[in-house]
Amino acid sequence: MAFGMPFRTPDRQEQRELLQAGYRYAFSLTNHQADAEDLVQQAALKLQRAYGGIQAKNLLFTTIRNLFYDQLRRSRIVRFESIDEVPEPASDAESGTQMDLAELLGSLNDTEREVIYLHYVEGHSATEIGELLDRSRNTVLSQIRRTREKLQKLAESDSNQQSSAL
Amino acid sequence: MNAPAPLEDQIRDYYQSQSLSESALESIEAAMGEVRPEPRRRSPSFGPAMMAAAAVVVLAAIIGGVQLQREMDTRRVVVELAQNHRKSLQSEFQATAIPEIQAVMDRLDFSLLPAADSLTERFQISGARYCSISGQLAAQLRVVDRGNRTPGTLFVASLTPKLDRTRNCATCLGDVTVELWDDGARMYGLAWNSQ
Repeated sequence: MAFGMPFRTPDRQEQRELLQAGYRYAFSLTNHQADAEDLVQQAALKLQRAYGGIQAKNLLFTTIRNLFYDQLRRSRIVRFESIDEVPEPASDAESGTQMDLAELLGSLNDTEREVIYLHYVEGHSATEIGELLDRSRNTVLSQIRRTREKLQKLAESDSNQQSSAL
Repeated sequence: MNAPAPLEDQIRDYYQSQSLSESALESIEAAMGEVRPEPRRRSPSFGPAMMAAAAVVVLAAIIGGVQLQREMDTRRVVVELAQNHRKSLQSEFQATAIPEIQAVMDRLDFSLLPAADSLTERFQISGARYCSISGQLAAQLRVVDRGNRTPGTLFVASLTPKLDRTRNCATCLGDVTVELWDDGARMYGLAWNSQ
């Protein structure tokens, strides 16, 4: 997908889809639901003020990203979870997998989660991610590889711990 | 028992399962509905201002250039007259009145006779010779100021466009003072030894 798509005003359904995509991206950055909601709302209002709406996904993502790093600089977003936000223990196998993954992703930093999200969820190539994040393609490829290895190691370690516990 | 999905799929499923609640979506939409788009602020256009500034600069450069050229031409003539005066060359023609000089200096294509009598009243003439000012033929007359008895050299040349670029002035060049003026048809230069 090219990032430089022309602007047009989306209809309500499209805008909702953009908001959901923006939320997921914001969640990948913050790993925190309420912060992600705040971010996507702030970005939406900013775009509404500037352009009369959310006109493109890449613009929304860039706005969210800028807001996120602005707030990080001002230390308004802290990179740990409060006790209230710790997920409840899983009650079945599927939710257990979900929770394990949430923990695994939570152990990544925002840069690693962002790259993983853009690559695996949004389906962007390393070149496209490099354009969005202003990094070289090789840097992005290297980040994807290292993050994947890190996740796999964490997953294996977690699996071994569970086996030994049994 | 099913094999676990690849990590990539799990990640995709995990994030795809995240979504804004309906109430959160409505809240954002409502907030967006309350925000009026700001009118697009056009970046200030510097085009006309830059053009005007450029025009002023060009005009200033032209005027400055013309003035500079005028100063340079004047300076060159003044220096030339001072040098001619310092040479104190012998007069080729002995005469005490301008009409007499005019009669003998037949190579001159302009009249030596001044528009006003003030020149002949001011100076006593003793002789004249041909000379050159800025490459054009001119006359230099040996004169004495009737008022203070100061000897000097009076230069007269046709006011060609080239000499017309000079300006009226009185300049002291060390031991010689040079005064330049014109009467609309001729350029006059008077050089005398500074006191």
